[in-house]
Amino acid sequence: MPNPTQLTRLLLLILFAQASKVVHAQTTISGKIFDKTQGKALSNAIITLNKLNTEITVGYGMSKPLGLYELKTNATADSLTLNVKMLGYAAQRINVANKTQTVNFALEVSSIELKEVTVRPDPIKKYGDTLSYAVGAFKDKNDRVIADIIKKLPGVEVSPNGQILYQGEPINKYYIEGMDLLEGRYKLANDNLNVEVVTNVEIIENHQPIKMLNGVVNSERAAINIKLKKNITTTGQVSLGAGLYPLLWDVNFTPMVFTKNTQFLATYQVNNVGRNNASQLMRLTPGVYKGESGMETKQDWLGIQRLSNPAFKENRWLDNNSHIGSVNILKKLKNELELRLIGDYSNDIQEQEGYTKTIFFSSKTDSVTLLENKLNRLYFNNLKTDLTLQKNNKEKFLKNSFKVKAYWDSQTGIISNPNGILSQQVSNPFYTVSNDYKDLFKVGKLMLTLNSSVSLERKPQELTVSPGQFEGLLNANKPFKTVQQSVIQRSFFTDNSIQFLKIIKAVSFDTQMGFLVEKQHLSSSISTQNNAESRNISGEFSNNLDWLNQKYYLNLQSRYKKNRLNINLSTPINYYIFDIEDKLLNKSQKLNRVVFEPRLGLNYELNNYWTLNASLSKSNGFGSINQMLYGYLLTSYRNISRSNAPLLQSVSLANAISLAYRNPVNATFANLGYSYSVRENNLLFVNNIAQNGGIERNAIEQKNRNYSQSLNGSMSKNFREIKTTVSIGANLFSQKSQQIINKSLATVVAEGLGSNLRVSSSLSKWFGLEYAYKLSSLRNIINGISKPTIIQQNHDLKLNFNPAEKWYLGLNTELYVNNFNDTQNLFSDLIFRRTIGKKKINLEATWLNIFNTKSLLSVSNGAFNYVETSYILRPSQIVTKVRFPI
Amino acid sequence: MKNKILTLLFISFLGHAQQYKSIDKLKYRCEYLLRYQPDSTDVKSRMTESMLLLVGDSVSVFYSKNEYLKDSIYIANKIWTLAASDKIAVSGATPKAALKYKIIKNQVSQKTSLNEKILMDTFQYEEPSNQLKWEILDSMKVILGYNCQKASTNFAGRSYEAWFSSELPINDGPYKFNGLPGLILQIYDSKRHYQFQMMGFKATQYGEIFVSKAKVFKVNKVVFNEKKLDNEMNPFKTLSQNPSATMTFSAGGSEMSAQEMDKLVQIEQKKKNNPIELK
Repeated sequence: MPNPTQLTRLLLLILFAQASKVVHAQTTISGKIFDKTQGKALSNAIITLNKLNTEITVGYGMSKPLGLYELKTNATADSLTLNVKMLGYAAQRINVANKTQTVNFALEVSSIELKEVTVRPDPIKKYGDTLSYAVGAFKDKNDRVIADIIKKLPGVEVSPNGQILYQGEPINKYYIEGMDLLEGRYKLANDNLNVEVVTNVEIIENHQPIKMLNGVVNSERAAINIKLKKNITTTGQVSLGAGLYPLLWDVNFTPMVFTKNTQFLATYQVNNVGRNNASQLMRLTPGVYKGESGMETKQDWLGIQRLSNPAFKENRWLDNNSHIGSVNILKKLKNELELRLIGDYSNDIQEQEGYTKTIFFSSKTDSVTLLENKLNRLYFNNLKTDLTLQKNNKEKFLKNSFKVKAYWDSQTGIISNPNGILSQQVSNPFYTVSNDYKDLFKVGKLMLTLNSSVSLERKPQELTVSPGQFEGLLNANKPFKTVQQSVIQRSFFTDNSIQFLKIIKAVSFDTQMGFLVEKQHLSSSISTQNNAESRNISGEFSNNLDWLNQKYYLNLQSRYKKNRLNINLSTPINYYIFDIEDKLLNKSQKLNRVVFEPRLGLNYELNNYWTLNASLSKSNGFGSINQMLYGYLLTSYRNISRSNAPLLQSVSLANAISLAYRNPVNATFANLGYSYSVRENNLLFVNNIAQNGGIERNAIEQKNRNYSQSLNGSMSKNFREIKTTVSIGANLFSQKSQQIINKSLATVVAEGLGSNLRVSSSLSKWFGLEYAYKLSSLRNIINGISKPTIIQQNHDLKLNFNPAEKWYLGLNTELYVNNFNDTQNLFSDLIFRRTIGKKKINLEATWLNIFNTKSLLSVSNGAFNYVETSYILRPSQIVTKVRFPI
Repeated sequence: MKNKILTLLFISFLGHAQQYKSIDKLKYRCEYLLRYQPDSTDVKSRMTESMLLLVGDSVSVFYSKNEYLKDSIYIANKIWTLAASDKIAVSGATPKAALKYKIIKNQVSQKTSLNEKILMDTFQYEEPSNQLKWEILDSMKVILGYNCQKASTNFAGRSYEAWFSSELPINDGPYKFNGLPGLILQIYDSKRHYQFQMMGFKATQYGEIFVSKAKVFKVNKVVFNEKKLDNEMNPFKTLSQNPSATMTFSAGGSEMSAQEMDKLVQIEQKKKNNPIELK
């Protein structure tokens, strides 16, 4: 029971409170909060005003830097509870009257413990480096094949040749249900697998294809895995296209079957609309290990005089009739072994028509002009098989691929010029059998990689030209009917190495050692035919070369990185042994060399916007068998060459420096770079150009140097307000080299200047335009005498219309102009795309070359010639295509 | 040209694996579950993300738990000492966050900043803290054993109900929310498009709050939102802006321009129409 005095006080308080409520409805309580022992002001203490003796807050505040607080309340109660809480101090609480007043608090240090609540673990959420995307989330009515989804995934781009890039880097594997059926030729599945059968696309970041290396050696590349809806899936694509004129077709039939243990994909594609289907069979993933190179090149000894392909879209000029077929089977065996069989067949006939005007400059002021009307047919016919056995688990990685490839290619060419008609026939088959073996094993804690590859090759090739050429060399200056060059090359290659990685603090060391053997034999002969008599020209017109090259290598690569500085140093030591002999010509040479080829790279970030890059390297080069023939070889109707000199050896020094500016805030980017290199060769090339344009090539031993330097700069800015991006760029280069042209030493300087402009503007929701302009200016200076400058300009304008969501209409126009001829090459294409219905039927109609431009006139230059090329283009054509899933 | 693209990416990669610095002692670690709906018209678009609020003496950081795990793995591996390829390996072993922003509230300067990586670069903007006008209501409820009281406010075009507990005298909460006399344990908007729910609260003694020392581009909120929108709607335009490279794209066997590709992206992006801050 309160005593009377207290009761009176309380009553007075209530009265006062009531009165104050009438005068001002709000109560303000303020004061200071400080540490009791040290006396220092405390900020960020929480002061609450609660309903009397409850936890219900009616007003609150926090103390400011000087410990002062102020809190207001509209509460009507007579008394309230004032609480002060601060982490690290004991809480205080007092009851106060509901009136404006000052209350100070002195807090005592205390380690109050707040009640804790532990989190229950997340329900089955897997952390890892796999990003799984549900196809449904990305799918819209337009999408038919899985490529349509993949290109939409964050960080993914698809390049024009079908290569998938993730964060700018090519992916290293494309799996279907975790199985690598297509081994890099994933475009086959990507462009044909029906989107309806796929549930998820997984991007496996930093995918290490070799499970044993997971967490040991890191891959920068990502992989893609396609997850299917059903255990057994039968799917595929059919696309039918037809057009005029002449009759055009474009058909693609690709069935697929996927089960848990077996995958099957086949394709048959045929077209004559100017698309090179063979690109579907090309490998797109970069080599996973040494020797497994992504691109395949077939190097021919002999060839017809080609028309160089215009630097324009293929479908403007490629006159083809191509068929490709491919069968891919992958089967899981016992013991986690996988067996894969690939068979590819491709057949294509390509026709090239046009003329070239070649102007040869010799060291003197005179020049030779050669006119050639060309009609070429290229026949491609090849079969490739690959049988691979692989084991890939955490304990073991083993992969063995056995490949057989056969090419039965041939070429025919007819050249007509004022001097008459000349025919060329080439048969250039190529046969190879190879085996690649890779094995990973541990020695103690060290993981070692063993690579071993062996291959056998055979190239029996033949070139026949009539009438006979190089009469001076081959037939004592008398004309003759036919000349025939035959070559047989047999080769054996092997490359074996062992590799391991070690990291010590901030530096990592990657060591590789091994040896390579290249044993080749080349025999060639030239024969002339006149009427019925055929004659083999002996002596220096035949080769019987034995070539043995051995290389023993040790390469140490070290990397260092601290703060803004990054250093990369590679220090390979290579020991080369060459043993070259031509018994019949009685020529031979031996060469033993140890070379050190270091490379230093440096990257330094100056600040948020500027980065500096620099590199410095020294390297050695040695000639290949193609450059080392003691006897003559007729490589094309007007080129004959030999190298009656020691093996080509060169030493190069190169350095480059660049400065980059990136300001993503206002979207401004700029680059400036300079590079310089010098190469010293022991051989000087000798070119004898005859009046009819025939070139005889040889080499003599004489030290000479090549210099080259280039400067380039570019800048780009996005103007947000007008939805427009503008880029400009320029480059300047100059190269200096020495050759002997028609018996006199010539210093050839090639100079060039290029600039470009790009504008991209999204003017409205339904209309955008992209424009690009390119200017290039090239000229050669031979012995101080300047040759004419070639100036070429390209304009490229794309108008994009989107009249509705999934409708697209595009008008592309390209204009090409050069200063050598007055013709303007104008091309326009109209493209229409639309997706209809739930069945995802896609329609595409293209009208290419609307103005029916007949030919393209372009100019290019070599060291001592200019070539004007007129290439007969595909006529105006309309193709409509429909694509639907099976 | 290809090489130039790779070089640029390489440089930007090196930029992103920077060192970390401690900005405060870690006192409390609060975990929230965020449930949100990126497409306001589609209930099926709902997503969840575990978020963390790390409270120090004068600084607090709020971000995705996966980002926190990533930072921890980076720090444990001293990623800044590693070679590029190893860095990438470590980064590959980390979980990926769907929400990339990081909100840092500073009690001393009374500033709240938001950091977010947009495409390749981290941008930041700053706002004054404690700008919310809260109305304290009488309702009480118990969440995870704490007595909580209801409060309401309006923020960036949404009206929110929050439940805070004065038993946890920490002036903080998920996202940018703070200014209540106790930690916010639950907060949701009236449409329930964004709901934060506390899952756990833990005091720690030895931890520290780390932030990356990577490049940060400081901008104002208007510029930040413009950048974000522009890069989400036109990623291909941004990709092809590199002045020293020409890029071409293809889809379904047909070559397409950057603008056409962006149009395809925009169809998807239009479904992300419901950000937490509407204005």
